[in-house]
Amino acid sequence: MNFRIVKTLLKKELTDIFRDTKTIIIMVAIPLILYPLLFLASVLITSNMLKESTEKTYNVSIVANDSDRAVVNRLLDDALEKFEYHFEIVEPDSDDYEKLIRKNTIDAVIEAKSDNGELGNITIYSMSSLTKSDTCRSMIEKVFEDYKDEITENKLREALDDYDSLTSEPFEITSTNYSSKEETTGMLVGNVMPFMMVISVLIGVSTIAVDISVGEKERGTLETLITIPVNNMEIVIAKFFATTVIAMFSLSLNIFSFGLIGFYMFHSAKIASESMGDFSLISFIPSVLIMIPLMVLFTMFISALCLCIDFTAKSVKEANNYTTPLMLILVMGTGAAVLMNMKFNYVYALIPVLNISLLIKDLFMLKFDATMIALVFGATILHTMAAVFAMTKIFSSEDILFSEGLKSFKLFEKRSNMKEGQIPGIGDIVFMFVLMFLLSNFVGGYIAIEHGFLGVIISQLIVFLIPVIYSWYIKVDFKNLYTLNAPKAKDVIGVLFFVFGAYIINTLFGTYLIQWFPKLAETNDNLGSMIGMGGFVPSLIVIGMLPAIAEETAFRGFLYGTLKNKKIPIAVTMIITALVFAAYHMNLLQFIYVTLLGLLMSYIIYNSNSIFITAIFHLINNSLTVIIQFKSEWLEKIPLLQNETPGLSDTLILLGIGLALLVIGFIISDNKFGIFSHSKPSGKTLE
Amino acid sequence: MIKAENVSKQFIRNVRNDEKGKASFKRRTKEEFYAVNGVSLEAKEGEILGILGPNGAGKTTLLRMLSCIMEPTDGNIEIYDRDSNLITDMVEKKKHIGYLSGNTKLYNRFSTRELLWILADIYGISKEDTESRIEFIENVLEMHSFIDNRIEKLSTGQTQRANIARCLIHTPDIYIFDEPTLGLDVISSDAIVNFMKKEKENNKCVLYSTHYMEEAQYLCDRIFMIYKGQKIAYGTPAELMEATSTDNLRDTFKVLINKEGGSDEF
Repeated sequence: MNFRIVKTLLKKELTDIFRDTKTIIIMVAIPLILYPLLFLASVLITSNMLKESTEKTYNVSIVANDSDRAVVNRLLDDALEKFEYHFEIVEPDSDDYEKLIRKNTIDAVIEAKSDNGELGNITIYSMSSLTKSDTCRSMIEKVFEDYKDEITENKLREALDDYDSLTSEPFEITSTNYSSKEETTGMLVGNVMPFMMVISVLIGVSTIAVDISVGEKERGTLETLITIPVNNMEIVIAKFFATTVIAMFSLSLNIFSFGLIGFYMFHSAKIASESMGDFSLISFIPSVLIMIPLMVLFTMFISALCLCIDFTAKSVKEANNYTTPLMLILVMGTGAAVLMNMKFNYVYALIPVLNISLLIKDLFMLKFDATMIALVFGATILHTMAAVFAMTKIFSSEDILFSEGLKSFKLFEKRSNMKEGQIPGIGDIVFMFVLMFLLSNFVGGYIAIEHGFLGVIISQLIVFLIPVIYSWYIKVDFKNLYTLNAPKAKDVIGVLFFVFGAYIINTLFGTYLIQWFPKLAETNDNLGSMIGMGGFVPSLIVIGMLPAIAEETAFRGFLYGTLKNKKIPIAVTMIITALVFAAYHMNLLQFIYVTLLGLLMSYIIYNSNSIFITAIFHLINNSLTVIIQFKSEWLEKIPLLQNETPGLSDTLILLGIGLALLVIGFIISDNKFGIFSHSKPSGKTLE
Repeated sequence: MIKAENVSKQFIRNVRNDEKGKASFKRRTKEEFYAVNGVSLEAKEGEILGILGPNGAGKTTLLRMLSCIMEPTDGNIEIYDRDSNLITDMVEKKKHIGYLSGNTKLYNRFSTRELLWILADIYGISKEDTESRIEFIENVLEMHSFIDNRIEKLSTGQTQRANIARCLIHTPDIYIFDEPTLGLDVISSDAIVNFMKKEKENNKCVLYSTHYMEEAQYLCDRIFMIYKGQKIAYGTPAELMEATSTDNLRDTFKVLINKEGGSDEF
C-alpha cells in the first residue's frame, strides 16, 4: 500500500463530497437549521398547551331543574376566580347534544339530577376524541370534585367540634436529595446523548458510505478509478477514511447544534430558578473528553460496517435496502440500552453499540468506572479492527463492477435453477442458524412453558427440519454434506470410551463451575426441572434420543458439512462448529462445557468421517444425564455423580479415569496414531 | 507490446428455459457462458489494431482484460515495455496502458485540469513534468476553452476529449480505446482519429474497437474480428477483403458474420 496514493485518493474523495451541494445541505442544514427549528417548535407547542386550559373559553350547556342550574351556574362562575377556567353557559337550540358537541357548538353538557332538593348525581357528556371537549370535561370534573370536597368538609366541620385539630397535619414529610445538580442534569443529558450520538453517526456514515461505494459505481467513475495504477487496498482505505472524516464532520456539527440548544436551555432554566445557581458545566469536561475519542472509534467502526455492506450491493437501491434494517437494529440497540435501564455489566461492555450507549450514559451521570471505560475502548477497537479487516477482504473492484452480487445467498434462487450437489453459501448458513435459534428458542421455549415436553419436541423438530428442508431445496449432496457414511467398528468402540471419559470430566468440571460461580447454577435449574417432568422412558426419548438426531443433523451435519467443503482450515471449521453448538444452548454454564464437548465431537466426526458416530456420542451423553436423574440408585456407589463436592483425591482419581478413557478412545479410533490405523488397509487385502 | 494467449472469460447469464413446455419469463435458469473464448492476439509498437465485431461479440470484455481491469478466467495477458521486458506487476502494467471506454466516466465535480493533477499525483509524476504534460495535452486536444470548467458542464465531445486527456497524462505505450468515436460529430471524431494516427507515428501501440467500418479500413494496420467470443478473422484490411473477395470492409464484415451463422442482434 502506497500512502502517497491513499492521501491523493482521500483528498479526491473529500473534495468530491464537499463539492456535492446536496450532501452538504443535508449535513449542514439539518443540524444547524432543522434541529433548532424543531426545538423552537416544541417549546412553542408546550407553552401553548399550558396556556390552552386557562385562556380558552369553553361552551357548556346545563340540563337540570332551576335550583340545580343555579348551583351549577354559580360553580362554573366561581371557577374563573378559583382555577382561571373560562366557561360560557350556552342555551342549546336543540336537544341533540351529541350532534352539537360533534359540530363544536358546545364542548360539554352537564346533567344534574336532584336528590332531596340538594345537588344530586352529575353526568358530563363530552367526546374524548375532540381535544377541546375532552379538556373541558376534565375541567368540569375538577370543579365538581372540588365542590364535593367542600361539602364534605362543611359536613364534618358541623358534626365535629374539634375538626381543625383533627385534620391538622400529623407529621411533616421532607426529602433530601443527595444528587448534585450536575448529576440530575447529567441523568437527563445521559438519556438523550447516546441516541443523539449514535443517530448522528449513522446518518452521517450511511449517506456518505453508499455514495462513495456503489454510488461511484453507478456514476461509472469506479471503472476509471481502476484503470489507473491503484490497488484495491488503497481504494478501500481511502474510501474508509473519507467516510470517517465526513461523518466526524457531520457529528461535530450535530454536537455543536445540540450544544447550543443545551446552552440556551441551561441559561433559561437558570434564570427561571435560582437554585440552579451552583451548577457548573465544568464537571462534564472529563465526560466529553472521554466521549470524543470513543465517538471517533465508533464512527470508524460504523464506517467500516456500512462500507462492508455497500460493497456487496450492486446498486444504490440495493445498498439502501441492506443499510436500513442495520440502522434500525443499531438504533433499537441504543434505545434498549438507554430506555430500558439496562445495567451496565462486563458482557454488555463487549457488545457493539450497546456498550457505547451505556458508557456515554454513565459518563454523563458522572460515573467513571476505569475498568468499564477500558473494556469499552478495548472492545470498540477490536470491533473496528474486525470490521476494517472484513471490509478490505470484501472489497474487490472487479466483483463490484462486473459480477452478480450476493453470491453467498443461494436461497433466493428458484429450486428448478439449483444445480445438483451444491454447497450452501455462508450467507445461507447464517440466515438458517439465526432462524433456527429464534424459532427453537422462542417458539419451542414458549410451548415448553405451557406444555412441557411438547416444547422440547417441537424445538428439536425445528432444529432438524430447517437444515433438512433447506438442503433439499438447494439440492445438496446429502451423503457428502451430512457425512452419511457407515461407521467403522474401531470408531464405534472408540466413541464408547470417548463418551464416558468426556462425561466424567465434564461432570467434574460442571461441579466445580457451580461451586465457583453459584450464580451460574441458578440459570441452569430449568433444564433439570424439564428432565424431571416426564417419566423415565419419555425423558430418555425426548432428551436422550431426539437431540442425538436433530442437533447432530444441524451442527455436525449441516454446519460442519458446509464448512468442511469451503476453503477454511479444518481446525477453524471444528472450532466454529463447537462454538455455534455451544451458543445454541443459550446458557452460560453450558456454554463452557458444551464448547469442550463440541470440540471433542468435531474431532470425532473429522476422524471417523461418519455422523452416526457423533450421534451415538450425543445419544449416550444425554441419556446418561437422564439416567442419573431417574435411576440414581444405579450409580449410588459413585460419589461424584451425586452432585456433592468431591475432595481433591476424588477429583484427581476421576480426572485420571476420564483422561484415561479419552486416551484409550483416541488410541482405538484415531486414523493417524491409533492402533488400527496401519492394520486396517492390510486387513482388507486378506479377502 | 501486448499479447493475449488463449484468453477466456466466463460469465453467468440468465437464459429462458422452455424445456418444460411453459414459455414464460419465470422459467429462467442461470447458465455459464464464455464472453471471450480462447482468443490470442498480438499488437506491436507503431501499429493500430482494430477489434471489430457485432454487438455482444465480446469486444468490451476482451479490451477490459487487455487493459488489466478484469482478470481472465483462463489464459494470460502479457505486456512488454519498450525494451521488450515482460511486466508482471499488476500496478506496473496499468502504468503502461491508457484505457478508455464508454463506461469510464469522469468525476463530474472536478475540472479537467484538477483531474489531471490528481491522476499525475497517483502516477507519481513530478510537479514540473505534470505542468508541461498538461500544457501539451491542452494543445494537442485543443482544450483551452474548457479545461478549467467542471466536467459536468462539458458537451459530449468535450467530455470525450477530457477522457482522452486522462489517458495521456502518464504517456502510456499502449492505448486501448473501446469505441472512442461513438456518438461524436465529424469534427470531434476526426480529432480522435488524428490523435491515434499521430500516436502511431510516435511508435505507440493502439488497440481500438469500433462499428465504423470506413474508419477502421483507413486507420487500422490489422483487424481482429470477433464473434460470439471467438476469433473469426485476423489480418490486414487488404488481406481480409481479399479472402472474402469484397472491396470494402463493410461487406467483408457482413460476409464473415453471415458465414458464422449471422448476428442474432440486428
